[in-house]
Amino acid sequence: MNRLFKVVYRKEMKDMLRDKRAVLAIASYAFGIPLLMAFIFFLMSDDRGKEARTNVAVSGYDQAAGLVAFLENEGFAVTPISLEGELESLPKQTDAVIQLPADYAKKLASGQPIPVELYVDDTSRQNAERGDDVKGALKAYSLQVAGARLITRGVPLSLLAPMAINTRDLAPSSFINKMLGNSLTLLFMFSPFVMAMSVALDALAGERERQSLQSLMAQPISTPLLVAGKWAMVASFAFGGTMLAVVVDLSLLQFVPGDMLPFKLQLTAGGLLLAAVELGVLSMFVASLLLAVSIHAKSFKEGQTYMSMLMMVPVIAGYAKLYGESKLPEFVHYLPIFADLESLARIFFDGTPDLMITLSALASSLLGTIVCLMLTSRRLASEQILSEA
Amino acid sequence: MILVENIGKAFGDVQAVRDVSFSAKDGAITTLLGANGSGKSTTLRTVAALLRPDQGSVTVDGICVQKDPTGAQRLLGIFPDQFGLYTRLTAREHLEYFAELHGLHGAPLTKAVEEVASLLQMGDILDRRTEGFSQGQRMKVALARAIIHKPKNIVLDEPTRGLDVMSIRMLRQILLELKEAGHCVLLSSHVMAEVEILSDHVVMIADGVVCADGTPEDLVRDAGQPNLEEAFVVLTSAKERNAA
Repeated sequence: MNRLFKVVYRKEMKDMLRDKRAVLAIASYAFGIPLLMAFIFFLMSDDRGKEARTNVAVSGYDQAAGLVAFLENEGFAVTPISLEGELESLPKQTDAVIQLPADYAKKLASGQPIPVELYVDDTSRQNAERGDDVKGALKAYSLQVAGARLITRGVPLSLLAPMAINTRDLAPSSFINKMLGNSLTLLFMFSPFVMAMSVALDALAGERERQSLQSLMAQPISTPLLVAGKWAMVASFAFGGTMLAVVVDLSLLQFVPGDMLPFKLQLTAGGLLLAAVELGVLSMFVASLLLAVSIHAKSFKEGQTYMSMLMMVPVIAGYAKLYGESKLPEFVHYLPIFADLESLARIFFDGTPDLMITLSALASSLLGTIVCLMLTSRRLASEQILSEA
Repeated sequence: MILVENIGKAFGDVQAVRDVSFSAKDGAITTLLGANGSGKSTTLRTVAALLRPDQGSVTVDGICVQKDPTGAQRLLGIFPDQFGLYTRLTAREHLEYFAELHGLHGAPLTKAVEEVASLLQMGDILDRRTEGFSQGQRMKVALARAIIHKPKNIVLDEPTRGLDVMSIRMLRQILLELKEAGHCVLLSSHVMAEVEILSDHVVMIADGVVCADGTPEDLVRDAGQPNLEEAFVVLTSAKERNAA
């Protein structure tokens, strides 16, 4: 039995390693994802670097010496601007425009409220952050002026802040860190699907298409053993390709400057080993799932249609996990892909694996593997398959 | 020896085989002769343990195919109606794969590959990938993988379909050699000339039922016709009339 399993596995590996489509799928995903990430980080990065100052243009500059000094002290580059009417877009190289009324100095001196217009541009994340910084600085200046006025009237500043609020974040990961981390983990989740799709199709739908299934089924080997040999080949592609993608991606991320990364990797040898085990078991499940779909297709082309529908499963699961986690029923968190996403994100980005979640991921994937393999064997042994072959 | 006893097989509402019985003896070529859709392929697939009959039984050298399908398959060499080759594997890799599935490995495996390659004159194609092979070359690979493990019983489903004259002559020669070596050769065909030349025993099937059974000479004589083709028409028509 063991020998026949090896015979089928060896033949399948030899056959599929010569399949350009399979090899191309692995190479393009493993080396394409780092390029995609580099592109995303490039878009997210601040072209001018962290040291670049936020440019603020002030209309009414001459009558607001205190405000200008405050802003410059806060690190902003302040320039005067002449403004008539409302602004429709920000001038070049300007992150925000402050428009002061003509009677700014007079109202400030007499303690009257001053309407101040702040023009920002929220088109990009970087611009939005710079606009928020200016808004925050204006509020801080306003508070400082108010404080100075109260002090001159003998009112202690503590009366302005009856509560001193100190926020403590109890989340194991910050939201932004977790979301961006999950996005990267999601790419690793897709990996076994992408890496093994072509070979899974060829292993069963391909046998039917080239009409070699009859010859094969007429050989003295049991159907479960035949399925096991093919499944081991598909799982090898899924796992090998996924590990290549993980190693390439994580290695290249080490060379990305820290301030360009939206998350911090917490890689340990133990964590990587645990992740490899988890991705191995996930690859086994994905391989069995792909074969269970492949066996229902009479041709490679028909199989591709089914596979494209199947590929929606990890996509939907991933996005449901990313954006709707709180609305998902409790049991969903223990299903394959959902549990894997959570577990791998903890391993890669928190550095503290949650063993309960990891065990759930392993158990549910193993159970799914057994069910899918049983369904595939049953289908392959059916006379309907052979009569259609 | 292959013994088929009263098998019947239906696919839903379609009764592919109603009642087929015959024996294919060692050292003889037995041919199932029938029109398209008469039940020949279904019968052969039942012999190969690819289908389970709804009734009746098939035994291969005393092993019941229904009770021990893999045991029976070890004694069979199957040449299906479609060659179904793996285009990325060489002819040698095909032979090695199927030989290994039959338990051959090491030196006996190497020797078996060399012997069958020599028998079928495959030296020029043995280490070439099968992609782009001609129909004759594909036939050689399919036949070689069917007999690589030297099975006592060889089952061929319409083996000459799509082959050119030279390939047919070669296949015919090999089947005669296998017969001379004492193998039981069971094939299906609807090509009268081929049946007449090759067969020691002809089983005529029409509408899933055996309508005549004997040597080509006996069948021609019993039907009172000048040749096997005319005898086939008369015998199968008589059966259809009786059934009606």
